[in-house]
Amino acid sequence: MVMAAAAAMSITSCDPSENTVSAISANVIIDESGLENGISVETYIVTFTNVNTGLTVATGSENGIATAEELVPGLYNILVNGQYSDGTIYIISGSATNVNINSDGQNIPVTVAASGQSALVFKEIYYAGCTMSNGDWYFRDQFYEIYNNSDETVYADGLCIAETIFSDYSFTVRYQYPIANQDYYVFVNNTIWQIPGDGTQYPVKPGESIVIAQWGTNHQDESLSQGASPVDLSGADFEALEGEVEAGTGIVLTDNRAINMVAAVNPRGYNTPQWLTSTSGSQYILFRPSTPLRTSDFLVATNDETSLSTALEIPISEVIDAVQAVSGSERLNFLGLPTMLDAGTIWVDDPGSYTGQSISRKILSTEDDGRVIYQDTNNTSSDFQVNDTPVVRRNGAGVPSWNTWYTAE
Amino acid sequence: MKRIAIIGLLLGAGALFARAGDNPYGIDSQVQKETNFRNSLWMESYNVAGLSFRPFRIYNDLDISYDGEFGKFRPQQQAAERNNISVNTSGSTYLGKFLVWGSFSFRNIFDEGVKYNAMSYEIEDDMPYFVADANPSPWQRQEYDLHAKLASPVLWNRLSFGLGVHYVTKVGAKQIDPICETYKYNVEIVPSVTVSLGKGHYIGINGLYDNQFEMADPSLNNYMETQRVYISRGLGEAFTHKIGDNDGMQNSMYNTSRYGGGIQYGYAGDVELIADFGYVMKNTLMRDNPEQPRTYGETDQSNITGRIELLFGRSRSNHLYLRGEYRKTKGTEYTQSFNSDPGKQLWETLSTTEMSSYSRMQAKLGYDHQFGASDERGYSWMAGGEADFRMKNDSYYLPASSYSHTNASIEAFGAKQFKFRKSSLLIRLQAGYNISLSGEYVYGGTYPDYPTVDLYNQDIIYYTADWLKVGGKISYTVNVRKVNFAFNLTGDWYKPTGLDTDRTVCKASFGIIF
Repeated sequence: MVMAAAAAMSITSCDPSENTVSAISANVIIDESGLENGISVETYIVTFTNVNTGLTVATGSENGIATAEELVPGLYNILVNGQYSDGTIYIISGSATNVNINSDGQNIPVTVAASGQSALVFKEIYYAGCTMSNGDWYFRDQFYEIYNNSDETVYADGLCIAETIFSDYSFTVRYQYPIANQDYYVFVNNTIWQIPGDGTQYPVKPGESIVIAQWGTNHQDESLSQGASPVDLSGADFEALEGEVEAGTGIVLTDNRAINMVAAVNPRGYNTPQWLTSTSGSQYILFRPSTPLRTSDFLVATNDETSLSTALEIPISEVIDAVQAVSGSERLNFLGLPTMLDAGTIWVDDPGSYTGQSISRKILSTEDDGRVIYQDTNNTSSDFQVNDTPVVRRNGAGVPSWNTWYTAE
Repeated sequence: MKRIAIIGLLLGAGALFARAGDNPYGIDSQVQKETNFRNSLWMESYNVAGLSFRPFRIYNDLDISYDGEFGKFRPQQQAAERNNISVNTSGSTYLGKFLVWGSFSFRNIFDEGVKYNAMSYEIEDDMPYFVADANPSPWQRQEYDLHAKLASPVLWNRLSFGLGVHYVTKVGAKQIDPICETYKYNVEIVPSVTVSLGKGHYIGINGLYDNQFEMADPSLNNYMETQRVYISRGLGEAFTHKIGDNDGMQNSMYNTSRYGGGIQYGYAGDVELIADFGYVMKNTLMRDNPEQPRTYGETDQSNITGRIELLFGRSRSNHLYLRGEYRKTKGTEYTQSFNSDPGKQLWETLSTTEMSSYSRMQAKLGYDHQFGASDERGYSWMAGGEADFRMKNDSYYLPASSYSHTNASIEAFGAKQFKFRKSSLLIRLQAGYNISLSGEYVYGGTYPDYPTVDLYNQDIIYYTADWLKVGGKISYTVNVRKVNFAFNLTGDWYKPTGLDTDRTVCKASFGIIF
């Protein structure tokens, strides 16, 4: 009887129209028509990231076509990256997001554009915070290390660092701002911290880095993190403080030897005693404003009734580097930075963070003089890695000569 | 919930007023009650109308019972320890010429050590789509179960109609972060018709419609610590999400429809026979966030059941049965993209792909014999045995993973009823042995550290174990002023060979039969 039933079932299941899945290939057709001055790349690296699973497949292009094999049908973010040099290094990149790849041999056109490679890049970001022995969390030890990845000295004076905003907190409503050509901007709604200086006060030589601390003190001190913090930031170059301030929980954020930054503008309209960015990751930008940052220019999204969207627009053309970190692969379908700034993302192990982990840029090459060149393809997915422990000035980054208080650990 | 309890108690009270105390065919003991169900071959069928043609002794009972399960030898998503207090009532009577049977149960369940289940009241073993987490947790559950069957009188000496209604509502709460509250209900309606062909031959058909819905609302006790969850896609494959933060996972929902039917043939003469075959299709959709629903997966299941049961010999003392079931489930995943355009903000389906296939087959062959079956007070001795064959074969297509196991078991039992002037004592002993014929879990994905993979790695140990089962039952019924007080104790102990675990399943109940 059971066998008869099974036979019946096998008959009913032999539907010729049944769509049984198998691995498929997809071709990315790279369109270089937007490149000028004879710029062209022989081989692009093309990565396919499955939006649901986070799995990535990378392949190289040949004659403008990159073919990925053995893909699981699904939704993908596709990133195309290459480099071109005629004395100046250009990053050639393009992307396509939320592409439904569900048929074998599917062709996906991607148009690429050129941008100059940044001299200053984010090298390491520690945003996650750590967990103390009593189970409490410690988050005042966040830091951002910025590295001179070029072969020329650049000046940090006037450099701004900030988080951007693009949606509501539940990541379901992408903000629409009342501004023409919104795609040309990113939007900041937290404090913009700016490095002071007269333009030549804080040189950063090739291979040197500057460290911006939320608070430039030794966080490993027992009285602060019960020794749980992985970092001593007493040698940081800058701290996101304008002076000593009480943090509200009784703790006094002392003014340290790190140079105080300037809270250039705060679209939220109220000051917080410390610059705490999301411990689940955020969108970080480095930029140099070409015009004064004015508090009167704040915008409110037209599709946000709560006005939590209050923000200041920053032209993409002024952004030097950008990195996007998220809480996990569930965020792959809703990323916040324009793909020409950062086409990928990264996350640490735990969605609630406080893991003590950091993200850092991967090494591309090492020069004869020992100077490290870091990978910069405007794609955090491939440019960055997760570290179990953050390290200030990892891989022997140099210390600017004007930082006389730094002592190597 | 209170309304359901009140309805259940009213049904119980209705049964009380319609009591069978004055009926010469009344049920006075546990043995008589069990034999009543054994000998009513149409009672188990979805075809309620068939009850009109064959006698079903009327009875009423009410009991309070405790069910306990202890020991680590179990599928991982079941509780390591379960304590269940329940109140149950059931009964049958004639309302006019209509035969009515009804039952109501309220169960209050305390589970400990439930693993890999973050948001579902219960997870069926052929459901690829569920939310798992890595934190074993207690669960508290409550169930209200109402079941009624109504069989018309025989019309024109040839035809009867029947209707079965089953309503169950369940409430569960996971206790450790990520916590959740989940509400589940199902309503099953089963109409049926049976025709007498004369000379003891009957033929019947039934339909079935069942609607189920479950919604789970996750949250955190410690809202400062976001929790990782894994949305299972089948056989260990999963994608990650989280509970907590503003962008954490919202409510999860299951919408299920079952529909199908069955056909029955019955014969009552020197022997009594039923052949009962059913086919039911089931569709389940798993989504989250009712405000912006995102579909994770859909299952389509076909279920074929068959039962041939035979009573023969003097006073139907011999009982032979063969039951079988074949179930095939297809898992379909949705490729969706979030449309964040102004005024939309919704998940749009781009394509769907069949990604998994689960199949299960089971067959049982059993026989029992009652010595002294002609005695109105029930048998003196009863003995029997059962052979059971179970096979499961699941596949996830890409990346390819597989999960399969085949088991065969045998069980034998013997029971003795001691009859006293106003009471009876039943003692039953049983023993069985299970042999695992084969079994393997092969994970072909890229995240072997996910809890969803560990679930299958642990479960395959359970399903590939040989085990011994021994158990027994003591049931004492005493008549006091036309009311029969029944005390029951049952217990089974499962011991796998080669594993340092076991499982004890026990039950104690006290009630009345009237």
